[in-house]
Amino acid sequence: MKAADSHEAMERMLSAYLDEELTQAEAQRVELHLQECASCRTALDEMRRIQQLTAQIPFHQPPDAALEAIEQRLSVQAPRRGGWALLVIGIAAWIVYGLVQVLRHPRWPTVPELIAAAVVIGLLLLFVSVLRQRLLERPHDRYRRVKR
Amino acid sequence: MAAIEAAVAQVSRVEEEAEFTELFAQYRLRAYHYALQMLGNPDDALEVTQEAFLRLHRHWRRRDSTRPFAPWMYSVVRNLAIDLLRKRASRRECEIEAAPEAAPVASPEQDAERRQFSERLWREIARLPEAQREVLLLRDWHGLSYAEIAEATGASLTTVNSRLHDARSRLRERLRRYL
Repeated sequence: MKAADSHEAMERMLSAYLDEELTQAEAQRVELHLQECASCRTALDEMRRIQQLTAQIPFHQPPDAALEAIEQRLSVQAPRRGGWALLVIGIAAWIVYGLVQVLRHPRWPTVPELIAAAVVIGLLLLFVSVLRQRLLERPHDRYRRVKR
Repeated sequence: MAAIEAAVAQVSRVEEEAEFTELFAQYRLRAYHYALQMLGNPDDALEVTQEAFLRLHRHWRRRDSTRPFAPWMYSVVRNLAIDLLRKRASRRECEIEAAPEAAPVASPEQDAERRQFSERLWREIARLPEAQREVLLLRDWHGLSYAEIAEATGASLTTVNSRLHDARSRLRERLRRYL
């Protein structure tokens, strides 16, 4: 008997045989061994039983609401990222345009320009406030340094 | 021309979002249960599930779409769960033994027997070395192939095979009289 076909070697292959992870040739060698070896047949039966029972262990089911909350967060994530990018670009463009206009044609601003400036400054303040909050919360984010 | 390209890109984005939503529906419970099996605490498991899917979603458009989703998802859940375990190493052993809940009733006696065995089996699985336990659960509870387990855990196929064999041998020894 070759060392590769010894009882110990065959026994170590039982687990992969059970999972159908052996090559055809290896599986045939194991099957031949099983015909002669009662202890390996018992081992295989016990492994199969453990496998079936493990698959049936009933674990705690999470509340539907918790999973739906995750789905909601996912659905708002993509548009929110796009929205933030557009907002930042828009505000920056508006500020640059306003400064260029002021430098090229120095004069008192019109009422529509003042309203537009108020909107831009308001959005800018909101942006800075959110950014500040994010930075304050950052040290408490325990997943921050986890490798992906 | 640019408008057509933008419209095509928009359609592609919508399709990708739909694909992700479908995969989320398909895998969210598996992710939760894997996290629960690693952490032993439902609240932590939910937190890890949420963070894992947010990360997967963030990287969704840059993923290698030729590779299967499951190993990637399991590896993200695994990394997050391990990170959490490292931070609370002292509490780990007492929390890992999440008691299984009742299975559907066959008959009261059978149900009691089955539940008792389920609890005993889970206790023994929880006692396995971590590397063996995770491979056993990924194979027997989650139904992953050896190649998928290798990808999710970063181990070689030979290591996966050997850990599974060792895990099953230990369980056979400890549970023989109940089998």
